Amino acid sequence: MTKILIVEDDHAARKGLGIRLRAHKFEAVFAIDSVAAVKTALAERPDLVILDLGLPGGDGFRVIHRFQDLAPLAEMPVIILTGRDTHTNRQRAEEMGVRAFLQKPADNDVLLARIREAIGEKKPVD
Amino acid sequence: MTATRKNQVIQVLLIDDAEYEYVITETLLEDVVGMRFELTWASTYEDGLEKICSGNHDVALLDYRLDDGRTGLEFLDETDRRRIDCPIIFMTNNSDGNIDAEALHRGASDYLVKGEVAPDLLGRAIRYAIQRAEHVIELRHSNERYDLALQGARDGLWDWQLTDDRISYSDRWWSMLGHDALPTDADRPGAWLDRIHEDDRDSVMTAIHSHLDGLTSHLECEYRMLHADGKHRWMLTRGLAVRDHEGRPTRMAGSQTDITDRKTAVEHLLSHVSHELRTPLNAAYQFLTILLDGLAGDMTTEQREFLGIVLRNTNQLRTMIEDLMSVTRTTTGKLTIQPRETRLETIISERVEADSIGASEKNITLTAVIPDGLPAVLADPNRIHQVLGNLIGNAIKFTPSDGSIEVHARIPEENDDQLQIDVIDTGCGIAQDGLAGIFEQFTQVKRDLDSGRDGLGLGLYICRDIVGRHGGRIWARSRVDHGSTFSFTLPLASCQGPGANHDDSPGIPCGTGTGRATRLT
Repeated sequence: MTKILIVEDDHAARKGLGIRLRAHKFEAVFAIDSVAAVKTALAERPDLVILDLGLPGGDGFRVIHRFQDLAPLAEMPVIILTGRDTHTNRQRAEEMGVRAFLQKPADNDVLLARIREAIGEKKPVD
Repeated sequence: MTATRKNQVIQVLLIDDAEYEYVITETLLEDVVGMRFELTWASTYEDGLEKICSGNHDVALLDYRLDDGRTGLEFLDETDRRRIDCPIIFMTNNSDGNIDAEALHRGASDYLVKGEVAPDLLGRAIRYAIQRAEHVIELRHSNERYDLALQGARDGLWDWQLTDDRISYSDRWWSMLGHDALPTDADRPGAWLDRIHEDDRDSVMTAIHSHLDGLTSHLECEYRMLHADGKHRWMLTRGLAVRDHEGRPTRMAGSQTDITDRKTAVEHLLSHVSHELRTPLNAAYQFLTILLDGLAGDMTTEQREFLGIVLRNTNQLRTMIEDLMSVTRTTTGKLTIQPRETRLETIISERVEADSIGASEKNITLTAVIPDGLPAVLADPNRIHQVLGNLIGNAIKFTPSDGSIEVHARIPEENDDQLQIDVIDTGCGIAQDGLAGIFEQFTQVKRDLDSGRDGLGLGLYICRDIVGRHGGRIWARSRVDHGSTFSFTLPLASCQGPGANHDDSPGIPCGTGTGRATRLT
């Protein structure tokens, strides 16, 4: 089963996204700040990370840098899902190799399509 | 100074080295009808200077020839340097040639020829000198106030003589652009217009001509201007034309204010607010769709219907936030367009597919009519997605059930270096007077009684801005009860200008502007 790490400090967003992903037969694991994001990623080795940008303990860009510095996490695909402005953050995310930049609230169908593209699935699992 | 008021004793200072002049003057003053004077005598240059500096006198009578061979002209220079307000009447002899004119030039308020002075003449000269001095002081204060206000407001001034096309700018006008010394083109209108950002030049010229042609009550426009540091600053100009008796403008003058900080502050505020609004909106959307998709158990048809209404309103809020940010970027010039070779049929079919769900709820047929072999356009796919989404969204909103919407793409007969996209609906249509300002900010055309207010009235304004930045044009035609057609053009990629990006890859996907309609069943 594809394992997805959700890094999100907003409780409701974390819970809602978890329900949505499980409904589509993904396994969801969670981290609520930037430190936990790296720890959980190392422990769980997810297939994909859905990352918020505004996080306690350092923003999402720093988390991506930490991933890229750690050999086991360097190739892990990342999708950014944030309330922050697309205009000012998207290019930076693109340059850092992020697979998709989505703004909250992201349309469910669009989010699922991006997840499948990022993990290299050709056909929907459900 | 209120010395000219009735019954007030006017303090007169006589500066003259001859004692008999003092006696004569005192006699003359005593004979002036209706005014009372007190005369003080200064017999030397230094004595005169000290007394006039004391500020106790309403007027001074100054002799040309003073002690030590010094003259009244030197005295005038000295009082001018010391910014003495007391009006000075210059006293000359017949033999003194052109001294009188010279004295006036150096700041004397009047001159009298000794031996020709009668009491009423002297009285009148004194009264006028005092009145003039009061006006001068008032004017100076007013100028100082104006200067202070300008400095406080940090405005620069410009004054354009339209008859010979010369323009003068205040020092502040230049210093706000980083020029402490005047550049070589400092007296030409080009100094102003050439420094305006390329993208803003057309709108500034339109604003200027509209005012000169009498279409606007005053000139007001915002634009970016090149600062000496090589960056652009946002400026606001307000001006007014002066017209001759036939109404032709002869001169236009106004002020320029640097509004960069204000623009940036508004953008930061909106960006922050938008971020904060998205968090609760995100949670609302997620849990609504969880319920609607049956992930939390079954629901009755009615419950589902009601939640559908909540979802539609949530989606509307999201669109409003997106529009608000787009329009902020439009007004701060930060809406970036990254044109590349783009196949329009892909964007249109994606858009039609996404919006067909919303259309089918009203049983509206939404179809794309695209001929084979359509050439690629030079456009930013994300932005064109946004424009199409807006036009189709409007069409769905204003088309009654069982109607139809068609999206056509074609090369117009009259202009074969462009592609034209038409969004044609069978909706209620828009009356002619409603069409006029439809692409302006905050315009909400009420197309039917039930439509209500469900947008910020920014969508079409953003569309016009985006299409305009692509070098295209957008317009609307409509007949009430027959429907509306919104059309826009985009340049073909084969006719591209400089700076085109040939990368055909769509880049990383972006959530903005996509997926407004969500499955409800």
